[in-house]
Amino acid sequence: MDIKNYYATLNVPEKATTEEIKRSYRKLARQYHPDVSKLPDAEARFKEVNEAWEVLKDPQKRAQYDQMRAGGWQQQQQRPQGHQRQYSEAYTENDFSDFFNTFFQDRFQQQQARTQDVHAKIHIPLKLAYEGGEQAIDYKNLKIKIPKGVLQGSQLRLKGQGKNNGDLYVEIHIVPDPYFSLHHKDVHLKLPITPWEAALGATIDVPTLGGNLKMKIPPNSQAGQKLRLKGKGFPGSPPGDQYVILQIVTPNAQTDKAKALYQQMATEMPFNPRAQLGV
Amino acid sequence: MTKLVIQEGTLLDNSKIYTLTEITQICVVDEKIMVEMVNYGILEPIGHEPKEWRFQGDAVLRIKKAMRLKEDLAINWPGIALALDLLAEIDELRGLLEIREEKI
Repeated sequence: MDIKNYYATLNVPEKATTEEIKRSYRKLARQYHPDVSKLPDAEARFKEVNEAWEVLKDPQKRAQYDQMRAGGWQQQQQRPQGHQRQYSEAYTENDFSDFFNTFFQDRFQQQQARTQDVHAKIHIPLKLAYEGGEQAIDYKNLKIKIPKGVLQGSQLRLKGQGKNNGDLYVEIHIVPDPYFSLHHKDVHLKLPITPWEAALGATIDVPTLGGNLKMKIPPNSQAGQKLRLKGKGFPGSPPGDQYVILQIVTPNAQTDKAKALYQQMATEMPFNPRAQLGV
Repeated sequence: MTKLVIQEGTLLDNSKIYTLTEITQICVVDEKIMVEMVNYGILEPIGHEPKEWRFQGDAVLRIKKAMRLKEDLAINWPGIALALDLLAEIDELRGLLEIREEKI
């Protein structure tokens, strides 16, 4: 077992006062709290910070820990195996590392788990959220039902599936889709169109989560314009909408003819898109 | 070979309505604490009195989050109310940013 470096975890020098350590602990606790931090390992880091504080805040434990670091470490390692086994049998899983549990766990201390509930996070593709289905989760080999139209950040509660009869909460994270964006129930799609489709108007096929649809682009459309397909977002009452944001893509002038056509446009349709900028 | 059973959970969205008793059971939180949370605006149930209160499904998550913040970061109720509002605003802004991000 490796000795943990609690001073490094709390970003403090070894000679730091308890006050200094407390200040650093509070700052790190705020930073890494899983409800605040978006880091994937926030929960683990939060637990580490807490464990380090648990030892360093108590003068006796800190002294014992400092001794271990100074070289008493080898002696500590020679504790009889029976002593260690007693700890692992007597207590259920808690928020502390094996290292802490072996040397700093008070013998009769009731270690309260922060919660008996278990929180899991799953990542699902947009299509699965839209249609509903099933997905396996990384816990007890469970497979769970994904409700149709489930939204970003939704949580499912599975009663009694946590630890010690606690509940299992599964948070659903919808993975970014290459084409569609989801905001609440609305779906956003950036749609590339040609300059002539924009200028002259057109009826084109547009993808939606429920299949392709024909949509009318009004003449003289501009880049960035939003067209709404009512009810074509995520299901619900009412269902969300799909917003199509127009992107005008100009083809490259590859051939002499193409170049000539562009030049003709420049001549016959002069206009300054930068007029407002004063250039 | 064990057959894999598909687990169906309860979706904690606003289609679920809970009474005060039900929600204290789910969250394993004292009724007194629940009343405090309502007093500080952390929860906004429909209804005038505790026995009339009806909470929507997402209140379960809000309560759990509030309790974690209280126990882990020693924040008081007004602080928790502010923190929850700000965290919700940050989530909303992140969502809006995602729409504006460049796709293919």
